[in-house]
Amino acid sequence: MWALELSWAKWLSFRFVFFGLLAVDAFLQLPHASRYGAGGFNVAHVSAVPLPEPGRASITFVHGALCILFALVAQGALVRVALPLATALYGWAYFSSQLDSYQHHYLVWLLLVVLCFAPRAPDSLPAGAGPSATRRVTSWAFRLALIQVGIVYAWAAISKIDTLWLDGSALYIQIQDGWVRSLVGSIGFERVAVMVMGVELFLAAAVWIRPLRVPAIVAGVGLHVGVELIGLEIGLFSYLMIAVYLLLVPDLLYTATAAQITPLLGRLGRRLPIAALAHAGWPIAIALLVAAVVVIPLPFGGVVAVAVVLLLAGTVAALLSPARGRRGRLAWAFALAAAVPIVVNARTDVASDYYRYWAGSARRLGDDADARRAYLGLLEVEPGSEYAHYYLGKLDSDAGRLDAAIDHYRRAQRGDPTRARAFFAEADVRLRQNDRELARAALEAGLRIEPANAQAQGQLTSLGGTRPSPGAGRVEARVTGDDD
Amino acid sequence: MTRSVPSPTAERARAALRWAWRWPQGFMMLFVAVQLLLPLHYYLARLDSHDERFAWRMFSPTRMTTCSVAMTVDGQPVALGQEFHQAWIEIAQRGRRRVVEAMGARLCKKHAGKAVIARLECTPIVSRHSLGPPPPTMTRSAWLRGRPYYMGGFDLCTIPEL
Repeated sequence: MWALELSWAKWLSFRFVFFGLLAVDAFLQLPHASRYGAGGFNVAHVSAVPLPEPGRASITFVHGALCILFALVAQGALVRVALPLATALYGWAYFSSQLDSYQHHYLVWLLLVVLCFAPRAPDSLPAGAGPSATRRVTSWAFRLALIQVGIVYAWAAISKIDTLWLDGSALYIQIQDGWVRSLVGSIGFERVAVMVMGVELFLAAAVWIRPLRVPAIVAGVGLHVGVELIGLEIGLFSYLMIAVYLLLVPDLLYTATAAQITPLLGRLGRRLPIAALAHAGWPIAIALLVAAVVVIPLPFGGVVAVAVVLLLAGTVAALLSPARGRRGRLAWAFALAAAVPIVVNARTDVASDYYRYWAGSARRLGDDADARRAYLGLLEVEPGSEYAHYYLGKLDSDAGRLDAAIDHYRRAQRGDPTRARAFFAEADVRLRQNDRELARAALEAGLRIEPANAQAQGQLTSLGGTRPSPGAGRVEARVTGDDD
Repeated sequence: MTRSVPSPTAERARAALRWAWRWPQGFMMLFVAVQLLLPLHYYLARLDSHDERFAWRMFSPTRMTTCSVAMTVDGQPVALGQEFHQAWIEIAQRGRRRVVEAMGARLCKKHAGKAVIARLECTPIVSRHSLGPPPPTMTRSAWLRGRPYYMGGFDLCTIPEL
């Protein structure tokens, strides 16, 4: 009664997409690590549950590890160990601090808990079934996951029984300018607000009632595409919810696709040097794990240490396993898992944002030593960073290391010649060194970029300098100020 | 001595209990019950309406309430940005009392014996039909604001809850 039967191909497709997205999302969370434990302050979600306090280093480790673990689960590797471990780490990262109050992270954790109970292998084939018979998998966990999603939709709809929602005011404020806003405006904010509530109510039942699945896919995917287009800052959540609808797509589509692909894979497999690939998997997995530390300029040593331990544990398990070919597949799963952070890092600003947010937080909280570590980290990512050199110059200047400060300010000027602040800061240090000539030169250079800076104009006048003529050597200016 | 024969209803109840006690039925029923009932806590028992955690209130108008937060220690204003990470200040600016109370507790500990006062001025959103379109110089969010309400104004070291 409780168990839900899916085709094995459907489960594999869902698992690959859902956990693959979670692997990417875990890496994208890394820039927020610096807020955890900053200033020694934290408020947990449930004060009665004594969880270890989170900090920048521990959250960095957890999200890095989650990236690898989710990537392994997506490929079906070491699921028995990796999924419960990932669920525990994800739960701790969420519940240990109200800094993460995203409701969708709570939903993801609930789904992870439920999916820990999903089977690792398909059901046995019925007696007399041929080798080409459709493999199926049956579990109550699938049913419970869909019921949980339905409960979320039900409560989301109930929360919208509110005048400010129903009259369209909440939507009116939240939808960003653009074609989606124009479209919603042309339909009417009130109408769309009521429609959203209606769709959520429908989905509350439809996601777990089989005959309603096809309309549920249309309504649900439409809703989450709409949410994504509105431009809310909810990371990959819309995509994760769309991935959930893979569980509702009729089995026929998966089994038909699998029937087409399986013979192709079989033919490909016969042509590939399987034994050689199995052997090559191990050195490639190790090399990519090491490369993740070298290529990604984040403190990932702990993550890779855990990954290597898992890899060794997996190797032992594979060696003891009677299943032929498991060792090679496991090695390649690790190789692909290590490739995820490398690729995401190459395609995003995660590493520079990580150090930028960390540095800004430490500076504002007055922890100069921590801020220096963060700026130096940023220079590993962006060696010419104007931002890092400018603030390192300020730290050196405050500490009385004036020559070092000037060196950083000069590098900052080269890093971004359109910003005047490093010129003005250099002038201040030159004045402290009683070098009026170089101070004047720095002020003049700065004023060529930011001619309206009244303070610099005053300083230059007091030094007997002349204000640079408008436009002389001028570049497209960025006005002095903080940028983190 | 005679043994009483259980009624069919009692027998059915026992059978249902035995069924619910078995894995995984019991776990599923508990899980679903908790998930159905936990959001009710927000509507029936939670004292802080700004705290919408675990209630699945997506796109909530309450979430759009903004509060200005000011704290003083012995009458002297506290530069919150130098004491707490900006992310905590933003949560406090949503009016979440538990976080403001924890910030107060932290300042009480740091400045033992001194009065720590938090003052929050919160402005909810109002219906867009009550004010009409915003002037060109204002954002929609800034324009559709109702009458402010206030929280705090007392020593959190003496009365630690807002």
